[in-house]
Amino acid sequence: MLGLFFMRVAAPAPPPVGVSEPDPDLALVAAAQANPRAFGPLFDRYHDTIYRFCFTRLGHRQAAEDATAETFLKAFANLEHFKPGVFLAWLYTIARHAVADAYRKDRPAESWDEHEERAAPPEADGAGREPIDRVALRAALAQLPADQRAVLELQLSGWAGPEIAAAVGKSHAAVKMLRFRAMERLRQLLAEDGGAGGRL
Amino acid sequence: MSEYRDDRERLQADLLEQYWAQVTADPTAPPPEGLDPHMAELARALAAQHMAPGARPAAAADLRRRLDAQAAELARRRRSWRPAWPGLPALGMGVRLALAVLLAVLAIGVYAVVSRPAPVSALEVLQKAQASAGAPESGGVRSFVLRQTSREWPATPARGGVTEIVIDSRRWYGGPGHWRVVSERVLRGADGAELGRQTSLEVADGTDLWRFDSQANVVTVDALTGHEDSTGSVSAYGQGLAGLQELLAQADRCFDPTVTGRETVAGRAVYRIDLGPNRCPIAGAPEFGGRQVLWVDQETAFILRYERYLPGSDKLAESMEVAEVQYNGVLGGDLFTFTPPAGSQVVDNRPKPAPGPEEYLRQLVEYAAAADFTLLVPRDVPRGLVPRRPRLDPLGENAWQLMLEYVPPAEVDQAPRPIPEALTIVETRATDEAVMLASQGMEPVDVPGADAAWLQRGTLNPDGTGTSSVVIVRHGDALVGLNSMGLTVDELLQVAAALEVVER
Repeated sequence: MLGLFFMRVAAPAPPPVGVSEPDPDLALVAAAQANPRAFGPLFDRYHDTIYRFCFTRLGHRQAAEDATAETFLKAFANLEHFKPGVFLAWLYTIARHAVADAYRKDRPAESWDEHEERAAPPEADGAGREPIDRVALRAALAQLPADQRAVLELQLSGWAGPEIAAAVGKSHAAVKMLRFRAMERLRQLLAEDGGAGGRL
Repeated sequence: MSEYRDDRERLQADLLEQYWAQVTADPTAPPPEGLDPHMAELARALAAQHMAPGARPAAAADLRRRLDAQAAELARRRRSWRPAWPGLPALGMGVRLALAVLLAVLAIGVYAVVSRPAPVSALEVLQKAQASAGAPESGGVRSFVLRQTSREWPATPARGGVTEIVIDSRRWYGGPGHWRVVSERVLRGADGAELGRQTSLEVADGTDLWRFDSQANVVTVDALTGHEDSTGSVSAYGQGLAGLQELLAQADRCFDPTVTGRETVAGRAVYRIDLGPNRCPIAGAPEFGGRQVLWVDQETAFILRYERYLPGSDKLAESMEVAEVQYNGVLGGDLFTFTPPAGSQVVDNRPKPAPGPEEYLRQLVEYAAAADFTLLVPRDVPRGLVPRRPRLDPLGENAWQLMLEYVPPAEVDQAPRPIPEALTIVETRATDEAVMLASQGMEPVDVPGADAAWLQRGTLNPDGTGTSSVVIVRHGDALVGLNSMGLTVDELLQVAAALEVVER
């Protein structure tokens, strides 16, 4: 236990965890439950991860920062109630609710499109290929089955396979299959839409 | 979960995973041989055009500060409850006469209903309770003594088979920044058997906040700054003032509170307020979405009893009840002083100025005599980084952890915050288990003078985000972790090679 704690303090970016392995964050969580000051290493490890997820969902920096803050403040306030499990999965659940709250509470009249306008538009790559339109991508993502969409959104948030597996409560192998099928379907949908996906 | 359709799909899924890892780090990375070119192109396009950017370091630092000072943040959000009295305009004689008649009619009406209790707004009572929890003075309380018992029944048995947690507390409050809490926490199993017992003491002396864990014989002292604008954990509600503040702050948004009775708790007249169902269940903790009932002192707005039920059930999940309470008595000043017991370990978290070189060395030598392993310190560090005051923290019985931080000179006297270019060195005893766990998944490297060393390379994005690089070194009986986002791997390895033993 002490070794784990030591490692995580010393190594804020340890190898990702999978659901089939014991969650090494538990030592850190236990330390933070005993002493709230020890929440810092958990925050340092997952702040960027959660922010990227919120940004993928909200498409707007300020909204993503607000949702990220909401996530960590709630996690901090409720840490004593965290039951043994995968800490990242717990954070992810809180973040999903924070994102949903961001729509319900603060920006009820805004659509995805309005969010998209505030994000930097995609640029054509160096090879001159047309970018994938954000609105078309969002529409295509919305047509994917929920588990495929979740995996792809987390992939776009920069999460590694084992982290995605931990968050969505599936095996790493299942995540690989979901990602593959999601992208197969996404390619079809983008092609049907007639956008850049048609050339993919 | 369904199976792969065929081996081709399995192979493609594996190759796609491999390519995602490569292309997100380097958009020009070629796809692995055998990956469907259409799939590779889609992954490349998504990675190049639609990956979420990293968080702004300033936003991360700001949130970190908020978390570090959450108690202060909550206190700032608190609004004292004060009734509004609009000013009366100048009135003519006729209006005054009409007003007099109206008042007379009102007086008759009041007389007619005087035998019945006046209706009470549950929301107003809760607003007063919110103010009172953080600042008892708002309810007319300058000091108090109370004894209470809190019970919690975890929805699923907690670690070690704990099914009930009972906390008996005695609390003294002598004004802002002055409190004392003695608590005994007992853990029980399903058969009622005692599984553990822990006593703790917390004293705020107006300047510092002392906490004594008698079991571990460890005293922790923090500056009261950030705590003094609340009563810490002294409020009648129990351990979690923050939890109460959250609950009460949500009262009008998430509940339909109703005054459902007038009762007596600990000899005090109270309002019984049923919050009703929670419209804002806590994400990730749905068991907290059940009904909650509060009993609020009619005069002081202290919460003297509390019950929380499991969702859709009459089964209690948590309760608290004050057995005795006395307001505004005279309390001895010695209640609010604390001297660490002889032989106890003291963890001093109060801010201190950066040490000079001689003081730094003297402190390390002192720590070397106390630690259960050989301390190491780098002969020099790159980029002009300077040390903060070193810390030796107890990890348990006869186990210690040394933390050395090196930061840019401008940061050395500032409050700790995430600094990308900082170097952090953490040292502890090198047991086989600690070494195995710490080095898991890392790449072995050669560090001159070390028994063994491992490396994990970090990343630094153009926008300043990224992950730290870590070097783990085994040096005799010491396990040393060197961690930095701003230093290069070569610089970290140079620091690791420059570690020298601190003579005891």
